[in-house]
Amino acid sequence: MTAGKAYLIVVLCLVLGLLVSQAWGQNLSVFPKEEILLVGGDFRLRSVTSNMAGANLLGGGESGGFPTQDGATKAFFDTRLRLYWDFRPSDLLRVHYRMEIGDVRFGGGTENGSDVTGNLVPVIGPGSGGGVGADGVNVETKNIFLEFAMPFLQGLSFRGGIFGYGDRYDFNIIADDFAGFQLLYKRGDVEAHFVYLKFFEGATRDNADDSHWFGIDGQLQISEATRAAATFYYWLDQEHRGTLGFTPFQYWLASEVTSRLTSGLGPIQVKGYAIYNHGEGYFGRRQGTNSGANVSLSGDVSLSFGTVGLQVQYITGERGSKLQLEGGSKDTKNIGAWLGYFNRMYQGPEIISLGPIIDVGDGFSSKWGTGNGFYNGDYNGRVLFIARSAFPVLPSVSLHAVGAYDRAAASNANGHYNRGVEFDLWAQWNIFPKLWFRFGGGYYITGDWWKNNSDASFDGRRPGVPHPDNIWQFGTRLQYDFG
Amino acid sequence: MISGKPLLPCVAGVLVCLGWLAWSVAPGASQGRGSQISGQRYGPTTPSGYYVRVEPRAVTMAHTQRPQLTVAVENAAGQPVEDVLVTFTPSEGTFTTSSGRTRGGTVVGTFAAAPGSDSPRTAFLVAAVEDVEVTVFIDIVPAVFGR
Repeated sequence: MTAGKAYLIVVLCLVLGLLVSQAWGQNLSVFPKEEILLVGGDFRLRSVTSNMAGANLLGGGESGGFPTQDGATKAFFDTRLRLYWDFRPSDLLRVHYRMEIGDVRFGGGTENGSDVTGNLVPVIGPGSGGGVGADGVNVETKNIFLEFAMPFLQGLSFRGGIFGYGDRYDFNIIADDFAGFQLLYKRGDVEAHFVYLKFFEGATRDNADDSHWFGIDGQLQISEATRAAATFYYWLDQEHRGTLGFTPFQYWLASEVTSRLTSGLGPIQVKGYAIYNHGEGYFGRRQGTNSGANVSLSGDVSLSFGTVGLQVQYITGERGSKLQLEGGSKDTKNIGAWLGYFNRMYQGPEIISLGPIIDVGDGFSSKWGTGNGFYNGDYNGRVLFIARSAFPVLPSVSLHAVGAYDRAAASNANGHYNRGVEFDLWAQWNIFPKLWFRFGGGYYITGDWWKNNSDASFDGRRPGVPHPDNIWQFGTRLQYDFG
Repeated sequence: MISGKPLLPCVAGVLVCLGWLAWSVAPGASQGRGSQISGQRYGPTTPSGYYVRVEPRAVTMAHTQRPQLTVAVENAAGQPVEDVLVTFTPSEGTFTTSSGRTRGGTVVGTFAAAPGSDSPRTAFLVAAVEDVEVTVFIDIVPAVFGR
């Protein structure tokens, strides 16, 4: 075959592809629903009262709290409105816009130019919106993306723009809004996607990175009552290439199985997952490599009077302190800690994880990695036992109780493992079908792990306190969901 | 003239391209005719020997959304079966249908999560035809998080 013939065939194929694509596109019934515009959102008003200290604004803000000694009580209200518009000219195409006003805080110690999570907001103006006159209230764009069904292959679609993305592993690895694109496939028993995320470029925010994130995720329904999933994420952290002399990276290989079992008590939903993590030069803070695992198993049984569940999670850790592991004697060593980018967990205890009472606010969770938040146990890892329950006491009121035992997988520099025990109690009142009120609190009895532990300080490097307070937190949340 | 060896990748690429087109045009053309339930079928049921399909088998939703699910009942030959009772049991919230019995071989319903709870979780819906139960797991995530 001559090169000319081969090129001719290639050109013909491309032309054929374009023609078929055009023909396919012309036959779509796009226009009949062109007027459809969906609107929705939520409005919430919260209050938080707590004695928890806020972590480093550069690393986690109020989302990454910790116990301190004789800490002051802080109390504040905040409010937030989220609205979205979904323009759907057909079932095959949509344009989505989601905006947010807030969180606007009334009272408390919000830093100028930062939102409730502590992230710097460079265009907020002179006020945060909570002052007299409410000047400075700003509108933020949360999401803007286009999504459409790809030609030729039924079930394949494309999404691109700024969108929310979270993993299926209790958001342990990643969950936030990002710029990027997704290829999604959904048909029959299979659902899969590829995702590419490009993290914020520039130095306006110290806690964002010029980096690339790649992911592929798929799930398969393997029987009537069981599904299995697998995921691979790869994070190329170019921001710290110059700092370390090489390009730091992390990858996560994970799998999950969810099943509904039958028992004499009632149906049991069992969910288990395992994540292996390996990388080098985490966040530019270390020279060495890291390898670790995060394993979780949970079961929730539906009873005639409510739901009761148990969860146990083990996250591998490395003995020692942040001072030793970042720039210290263990900086270049291979450590056995599991590291994530987001380090959050819903459905867990209010203080230890991202609890359901106030959602985001005070707690050990952090979306900026180890050293600023203690959800994943910092470098020491975690063993976490959770008992949770929900009881509908009235048609519109339910009570929820949670208990948790929190322990490091590896000891800190002082040889301590025990972090503490937490108890939560909260109630939800569904005032109207979409208007609800949630209130309750959590109490965390701190263990020896926090004592004289430099990891448990404002920036993770200062001397720890000898007698850290037990932590308490009370919150209310009034929310209206619409759309 | 050049030898054929360097062109092998090019030819292979062309074949892949053609194969891709041939394979993908068929489902694309059928898209306008309405969805057909694909995926695994479960059964046979006892005593009637029906087979059951459910679509979608994977649902990710915000708690305010109302996803639609379809249950199809067919015989061993794959023909739709009329007037078969299908029962639905959600782990939370409600699942509403216009009819509990198949019309045109299917029952279509809408799932609504429990009101007032935006905490991420996995709910499930059990669709039962005689002694066969099919579970659909429903990942309820905060509105801004999708997969």
